[in-house]
Amino acid sequence: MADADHVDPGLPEPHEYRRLDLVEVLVSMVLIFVLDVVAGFDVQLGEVFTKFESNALIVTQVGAALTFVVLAGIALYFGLHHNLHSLLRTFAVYLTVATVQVLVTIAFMLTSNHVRGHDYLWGLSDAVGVYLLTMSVFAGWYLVADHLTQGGAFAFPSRSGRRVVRRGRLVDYLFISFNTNSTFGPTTELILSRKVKLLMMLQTVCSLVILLVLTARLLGRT
Amino acid sequence: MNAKAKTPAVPRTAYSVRETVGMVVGMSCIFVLNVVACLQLDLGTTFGPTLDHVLNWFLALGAVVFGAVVVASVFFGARRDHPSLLRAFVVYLGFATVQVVANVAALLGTAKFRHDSYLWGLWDIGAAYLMVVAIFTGWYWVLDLLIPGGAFEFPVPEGREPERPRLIDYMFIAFNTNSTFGPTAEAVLSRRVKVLMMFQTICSLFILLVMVARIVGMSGG
Repeated sequence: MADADHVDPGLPEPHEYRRLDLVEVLVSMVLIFVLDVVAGFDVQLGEVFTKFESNALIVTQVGAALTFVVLAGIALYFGLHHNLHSLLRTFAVYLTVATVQVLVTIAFMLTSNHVRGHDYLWGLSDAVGVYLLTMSVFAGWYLVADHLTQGGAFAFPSRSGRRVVRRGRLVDYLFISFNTNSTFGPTTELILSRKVKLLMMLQTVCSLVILLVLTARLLGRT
Repeated sequence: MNAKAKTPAVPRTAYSVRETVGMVVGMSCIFVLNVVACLQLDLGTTFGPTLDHVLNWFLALGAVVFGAVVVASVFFGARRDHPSLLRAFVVYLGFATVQVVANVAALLGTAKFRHDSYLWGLWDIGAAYLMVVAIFTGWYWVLDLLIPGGAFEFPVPEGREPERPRLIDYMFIAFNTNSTFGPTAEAVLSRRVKVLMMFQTICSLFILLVMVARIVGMSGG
């Protein structure tokens, strides 16, 4: 078993960076933030929370947004200096705050489930919101982990005879995150890093709890 | 999949002192997880007094068995007799598996009596889930070390030397088997482990069954 954490150098030397890599990470960071904000609002719109819970969620959401604004400036600085390593670490700080936001949201959904009453399935949009939130945040984690882990954190499938894909694009990490949410485990990409295994287990726990909330809602626990 | 090359035989029987200590610590972690899960299950579930008594007996007996296994493992560890050390772990895991079965059976028997007002009232189901993950992590770990050539084929990127798996790798297998009801990225090479994995899947399906029954009970109550 190879834990990719300490095997061979994963990141290229600074002069080997493609400008595209830096732009791609910056754009990914913004996209994940946008997804995060949209999903956060969607959860709020569900109006299932008490005043305290609602305020707490707003605080975490505003906190995450402020963190992003500050970190985006720092990330831009690192981007302009072609420092991909520090840029990714900056991204990881934002993702930590966003992960706390995800956990708080899921915990409140779990405790507030009994007060909800809906006549239509679209009333479950907040459950979809938290699903989207989990997916976007963990996609960010997988992107950062794959770039920061020496040798890469994932082995992507490639056609025989073609060049092995060393690094994925944002859509590859979204695919991993989406599949982990929907199948409750890894699928076609092999996980080579123990840290990512832990992250994936955390994501599975989140998605199982979301399924629990959704099932309870569908069964009319209102 | 290029990266999933066959894992070359890793020498799995020659262990350093540090690795031997790591084994005992790893097994202690599994024991602690099991005890915590058992206590949570006991606190959160409305078992009858007789059933409660039986499960508490199991818990106490499990602690005694584990104590004896630790003493035996220190003895075997000092003599560098690793196969015997692992077999001592198997004794504890065998007992803990009976305990898991008893707990899952008890949950099945009491599912209809329970009425929760909140979803977090289902946390004893989470404890049962944790217990299954902990015990089967131990099984996969010990069997992978005991079976010649290993019980699993872990993914290894091309051109890289395979490393000796760690506890977290086996926990990942056990966790995924519980959540996806089957194997995922790691290929299972041993028939004994296949049987064990099917057994774990049955346990996790029963846990799902109890959870659904409780949620339905909530909507009815």
